[in-house]
Amino acid sequence: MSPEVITIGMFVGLLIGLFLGHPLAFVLGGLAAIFGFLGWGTTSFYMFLNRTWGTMDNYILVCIPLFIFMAQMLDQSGVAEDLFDTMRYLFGPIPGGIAVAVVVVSTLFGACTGIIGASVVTMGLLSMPVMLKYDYNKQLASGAVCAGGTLGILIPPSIMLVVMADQASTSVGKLFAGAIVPGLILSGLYIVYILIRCALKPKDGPALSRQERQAVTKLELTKMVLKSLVPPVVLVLGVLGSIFAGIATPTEAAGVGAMLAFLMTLAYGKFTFAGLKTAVINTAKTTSMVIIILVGAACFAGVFLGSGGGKVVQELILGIGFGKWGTFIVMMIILFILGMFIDWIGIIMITFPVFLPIAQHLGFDKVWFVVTMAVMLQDSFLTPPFGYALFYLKGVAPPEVTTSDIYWGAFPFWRLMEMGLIIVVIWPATIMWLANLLVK
Amino acid sequence: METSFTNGRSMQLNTILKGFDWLSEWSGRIFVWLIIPLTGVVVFEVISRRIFDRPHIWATEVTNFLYGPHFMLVAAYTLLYQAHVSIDVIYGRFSPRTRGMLDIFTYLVFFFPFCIIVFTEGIVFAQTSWSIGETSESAAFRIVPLIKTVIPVSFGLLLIQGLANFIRSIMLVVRGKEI
Repeated sequence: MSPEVITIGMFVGLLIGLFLGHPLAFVLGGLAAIFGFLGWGTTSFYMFLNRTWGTMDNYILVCIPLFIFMAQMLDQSGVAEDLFDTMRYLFGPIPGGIAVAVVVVSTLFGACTGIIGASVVTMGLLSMPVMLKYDYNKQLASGAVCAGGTLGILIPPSIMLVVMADQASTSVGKLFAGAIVPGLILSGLYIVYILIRCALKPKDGPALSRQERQAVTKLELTKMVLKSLVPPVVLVLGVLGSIFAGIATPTEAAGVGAMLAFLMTLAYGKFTFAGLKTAVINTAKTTSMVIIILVGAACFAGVFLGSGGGKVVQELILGIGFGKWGTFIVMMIILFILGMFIDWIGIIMITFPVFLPIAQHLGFDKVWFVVTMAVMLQDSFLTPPFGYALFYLKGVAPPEVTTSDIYWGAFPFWRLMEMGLIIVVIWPATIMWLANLLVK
Repeated sequence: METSFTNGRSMQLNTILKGFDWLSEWSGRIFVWLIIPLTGVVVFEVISRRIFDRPHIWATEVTNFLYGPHFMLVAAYTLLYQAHVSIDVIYGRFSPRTRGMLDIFTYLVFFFPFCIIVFTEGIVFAQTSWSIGETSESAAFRIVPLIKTVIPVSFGLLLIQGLANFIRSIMLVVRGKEI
């Protein structure tokens, strides 16, 4: 079979398998089996074992369960609840204030966790009932939760950046450092958008009433801020700081972070054995789901690249002849489209081997390019039909919030993500400054 | 007589399927806890190396050897609880019976070929490791063959849970209701 036929066959097969509702991991693996067999017969199968073993015997990827465990323990500690309560009173007096609080808490939570599930679920449970009570626009409310929660996988620590570093053979620390400013830019854009929208249309996000504001005195509020803000900030600075200072490898920092998050549940008096069990079970399920996709995607990518599919796509992209930036835009559009159908792991495994050589050929810096891809992939969590954040929110939102509210609510936030992408493209220093400053 | 006979058979089948579920359930309940020693070893080594300046060569290896089995051995449990992500925009709109038919198709085309290949090749992979007595870098633990054996074991468990799901789909399509 020609590489062109294999390329088209594998992607059509991917779409068919996914739309028939089969788990992504096994669709990827199954296609690898079918096309591996068609291409090279049974000799291709040994490669599957090398790929599986390569995923198991991989010190960098050990970060993933540890960062997930840290997020799950942090979730148990109830820190998000306290933070949200505090921020609600802090920002409540302005129109749209609760939605702003959602974004601020998600940003902080994102800096403590590397996944999106925990933040979307927690923030959805905490904030949706409150925002509906204050008669917020349902679309704005759900958009803020989805977009805010998605920041968790961009703002370091982030398991997505860990997988990207592994695949691009670059340093985890450099990617972490590079993604800080872009993450904050997105967070800032969301806040500005919410404030402008609610200033123009106060009905979308009514401010807290006078009575409610007076329920908490300034002194109490200050105490609340200190109590809820200090421990997570210490945790983040400890984890990220030790990576940037070169004291700890990302895996070590993740382990210590998980331990600290565990101690935080003790300190907040929230520790229960049942809570620990929930955290342990959720950690295992999320880890297994993520890494089994990684195994399937590694096999898929192995067959796809081995049969020359990567070259076909590369020649196709370079052959259009759009020049340096035109090609960049084409690659980003491909990421956007893939993001609608496959999750970030599949996308990284398939596109990295194809895109990175193109980027190098065009003279883009590797760290910069990878971080712009990470920013672009934020879209993929919010684009139907396959958007994790949308799924998670639908699972926990009050019943009066419909699927279409959630889809339409996410829409303006994609646009903001794309604005964020444009900003980091126009000013590369937004990524490179911290990447070069913090990690030598 | 006829009905009680089929009922008896379906009871038997049901018991077998429950047994498959039970296996996944317990593999999960046990191996989810590996995250605790994993965290423990990492933290222990950080303290030992950074504070007491006494690094252990085995620590990195033990870390890897806890991490791999953790995500592999709970894969069947994750499948039992349908926590492997899939798209349900279209799938979710069909009747249960149609979904059963789609599942029969997708399990035959995607799931079984992949899992059977990794399972059978995994046995060869592990056997090779046992027969050459493969050791790890530190040689403190002759554990590599054991960890490689985790691959066929995990995929064996996945196949069993997959088979249970597959048989349930067939019964759903044939009988028009879930068993």
